[in-house]
Amino acid sequence: MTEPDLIAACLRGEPRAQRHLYNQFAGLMLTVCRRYLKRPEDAEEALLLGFAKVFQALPTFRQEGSFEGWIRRIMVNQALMELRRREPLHLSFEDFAQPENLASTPATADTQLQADELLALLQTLPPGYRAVFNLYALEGYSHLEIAEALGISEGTSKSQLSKARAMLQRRLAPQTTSF
Amino acid sequence: MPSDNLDDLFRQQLGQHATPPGADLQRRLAELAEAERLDNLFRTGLGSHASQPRRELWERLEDEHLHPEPRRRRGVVAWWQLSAAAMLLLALLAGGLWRGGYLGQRPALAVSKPAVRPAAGSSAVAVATSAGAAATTASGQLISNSLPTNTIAQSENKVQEKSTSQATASRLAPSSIPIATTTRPRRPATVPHAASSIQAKTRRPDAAAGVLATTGKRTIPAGQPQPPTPPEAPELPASRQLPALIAMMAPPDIIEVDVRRGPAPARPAAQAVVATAPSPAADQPRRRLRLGGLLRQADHLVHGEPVSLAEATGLPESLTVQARLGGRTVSRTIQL
Repeated sequence: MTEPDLIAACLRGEPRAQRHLYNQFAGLMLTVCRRYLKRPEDAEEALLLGFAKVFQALPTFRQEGSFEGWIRRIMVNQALMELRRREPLHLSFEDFAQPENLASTPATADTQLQADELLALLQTLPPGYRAVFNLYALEGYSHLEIAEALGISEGTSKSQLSKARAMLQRRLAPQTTSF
Repeated sequence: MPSDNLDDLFRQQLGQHATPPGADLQRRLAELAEAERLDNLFRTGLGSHASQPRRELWERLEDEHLHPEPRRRRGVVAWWQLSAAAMLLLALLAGGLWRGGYLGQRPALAVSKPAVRPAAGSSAVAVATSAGAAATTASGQLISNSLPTNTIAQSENKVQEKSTSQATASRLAPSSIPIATTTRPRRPATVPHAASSIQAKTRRPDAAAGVLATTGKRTIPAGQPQPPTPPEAPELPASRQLPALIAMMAPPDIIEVDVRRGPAPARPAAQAVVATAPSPAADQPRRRLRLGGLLRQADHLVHGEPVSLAEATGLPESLTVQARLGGRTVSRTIQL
């Protein structure tokens, strides 16, 4: 079934097509949500509500851009909403510098960092840093877009990105000699 | 120096000259490269990574967001189930009342359950006695009466056969028509020959009309004192039983409950009634009527029209419940 056919079937409310669409994108989108949200159950909640919005807003999809990109944007917005609800977005650097927060993901230097380890590293970041790093580095948002999405200034966005990178590099240093 | 020569000089000296970046610039460039590598690491590691969601997540999505209709259907089914349950309840109520003699031609009977809910930990003792005794029993016996003399005499014999705790007097003028009277002592009776009151404590009030007359036949749970066998027990005249009952009911904390047909009477009722089984022949036409009424109400229920309990079951349109505790009397009329 091609993507337009799948979308048309979903628009007709066919349960099989809806299930197919879910199966096709749920795994990818759960990783997206997990990048923003620390607790797995929060990520699943964001995924659930995100898919509800996807099916609800499906008639508005004009099939001009990437369907996966359209779904991903909905998921990112949902994850950010969930993040605002679950975790304070602006955590100070001092709060982050607690001993328990400095624990790094156990991994050996000679092993390739796996996705779960990278996720674990991301989740050690304060929520605000994590959101900015995700949006800039992985989603490709500009600082202006990030500032609008998170309700912060561009300068704050740049500053938090820089700090997030620094923290990640510090944690990665003992694990990988070069990356 | 001509300007052309000057231009050539700068072009020759600086055109191919490579200035090594300063230390600060070197550091900044290294940071950018490092940041880019870091971003690439996460982008490639997580960009196409898929986590396996739990199976329940799809079911939740389907149930809560995609197809919530089945819930509405379940609601409709539940409504029909409730309707069926209500019909069954009505049928059971009608059957129970018929079996208890309520639907017969007798104008009065003892029905304790519909009017009185048993208090936790308390026992219920239903006593029927004469109307005149109401004046004499200041301790608050519960009394109802509406039977004609011959019926009372019949019921008197039955009562004395089956329950030694009940007394019936036949020389009473019928007044308002109490359906049932129930007395609830908060403390158990201690009079030895009021054995059936002990027996009555072991059960809950029954909806059947023959409660008063059949207490002697009730089974007694293990561990409860066995009352004397009713048939062999010497029959005491009512005049001798009454003082014993009065003594039994003497404690001040006694609740009297009267249940009557229709609204509250103008004057206090004090008649005694003991229910007896109605003759089947007399009940026959009324039963047919009740069955028709029941079917008619079922039709009303199916079509969403108002259902009349009174028409379906033959119950009166209203019942009056009157409770007396000590010197206080509380009366309430229930519209059926």
